[in-house]
Amino acid sequence: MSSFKTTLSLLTAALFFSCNLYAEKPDVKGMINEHIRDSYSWHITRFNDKDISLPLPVIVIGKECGAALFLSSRLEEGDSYKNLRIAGTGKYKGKIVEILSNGEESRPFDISITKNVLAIIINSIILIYLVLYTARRYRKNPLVVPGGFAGFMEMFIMDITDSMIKPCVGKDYLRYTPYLLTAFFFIFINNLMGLLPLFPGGANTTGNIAITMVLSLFTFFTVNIFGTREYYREIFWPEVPKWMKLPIPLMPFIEMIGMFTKPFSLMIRLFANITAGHSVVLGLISIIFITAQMGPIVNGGMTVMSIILTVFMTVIEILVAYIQAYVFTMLSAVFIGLSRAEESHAKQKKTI
Amino acid sequence: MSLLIPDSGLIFWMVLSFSVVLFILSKFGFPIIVKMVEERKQIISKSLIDAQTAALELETAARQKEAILSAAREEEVKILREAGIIREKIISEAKEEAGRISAQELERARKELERVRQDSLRKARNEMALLSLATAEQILRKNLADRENQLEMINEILKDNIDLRS
Repeated sequence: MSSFKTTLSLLTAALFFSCNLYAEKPDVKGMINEHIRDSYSWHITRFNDKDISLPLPVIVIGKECGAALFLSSRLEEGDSYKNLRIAGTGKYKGKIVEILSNGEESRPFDISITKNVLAIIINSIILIYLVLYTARRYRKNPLVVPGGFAGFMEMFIMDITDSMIKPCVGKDYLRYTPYLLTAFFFIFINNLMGLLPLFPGGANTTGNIAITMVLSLFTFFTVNIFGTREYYREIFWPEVPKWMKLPIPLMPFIEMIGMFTKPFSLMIRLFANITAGHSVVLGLISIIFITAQMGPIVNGGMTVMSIILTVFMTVIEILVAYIQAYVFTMLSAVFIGLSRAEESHAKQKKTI
Repeated sequence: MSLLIPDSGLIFWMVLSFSVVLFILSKFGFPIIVKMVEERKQIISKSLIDAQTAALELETAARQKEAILSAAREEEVKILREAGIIREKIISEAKEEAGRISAQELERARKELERVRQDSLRKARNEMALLSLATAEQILRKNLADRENQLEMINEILKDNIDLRS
């Protein structure tokens, strides 16, 4: 049913686009880029040649103009405000730049509430509400098995805890369950909301490198702050022949690189998967507009094809949303489990 | 290329919102759910074990009851049998005693009877002897009133005695 709705809304979106783009050659690459990227206002739709978008607050601290707080509607279509404008070309394309008195463009300190920031805040509120709603059921009557949505959440949470966190982290897994579960549900909700084509959804949050970077940094710090002595011994003095670590610390060097590649791979994997999914769905939708000039028969046929493929891709994307949240959490759990290495464990390895 | 360059503002907001989410959920969310579910699991497994032990206890109690009942029944049978035996014994003893006593009594009675009979016999004999003596006296007195008769009599007697000796 949800995929049907998705299709329907994509179709309506397609109709709006086709009104504009019928005559001109559609800029598919630009369109996809615009959808994947962050922006200063939340473009909802285009109705009767008018963009309907939600203006968002811009917060910048520039070198000359100082701190500024205003709505992004002031910067629409290349307008400038207090020497600030959205750069159309160049190094800072799509970002707010400050035109300095000598005519140079400079990037101010920018903590605007952008589309992705707002999406994260909305998704966080949804997530907090869902989890606290479930937790409240337990506070009210602790021993009653909850039904309905709380029961579903319990099943979901306990499945992740028992089948992934417990075996991957090991002994003191209860200490890490809050972080790992938060990461899982945060990514999962953001992935799903990203798939919704209409307003509260549609932002490509988990397909943004900044967001996946923060998530993987959280994992990095969790792993390395709570790492045991054995974990650090395995990095700086691993169980390898002496010549591999004494004159030139070859193995310690490789292990230290490993410390950083693990979260880096987490960051890139999530970002790439979600971005790719969004791009493919948008690309498939674009088939309709590309073939618009080829006559009604080709266009009609291709539209049907495009819709079928888009539905297929969207269903796969729902699966990917779950899988990527699961993979991120599972790898985090595995890294945490490795950082909880115990001495006896290493000695056992040695005897083998 | 800019897709791969993280935006500082977004990082700032992401760190902030994710920290808040993490704080709230790890304070009021997930640990409570996980703890409650674990507690419930423990309670369920404990209740199951309790139920099992209770069932076992019930079974042993039933078995004990059965054992006690059967023991009581056996005891009852034994007591009844013993009572029967005792009764029989008492009856037979009583019978024996009665028989003995009655025999004794009978014996005494017989002896008494014998004595009485002997007594009366002797008395009767004495009486008879006296009577016959008296009679004989009377007869003799009558018969020996005259001389002839006395002589005849003596002769007869003598004759008889001689007959008897010869």
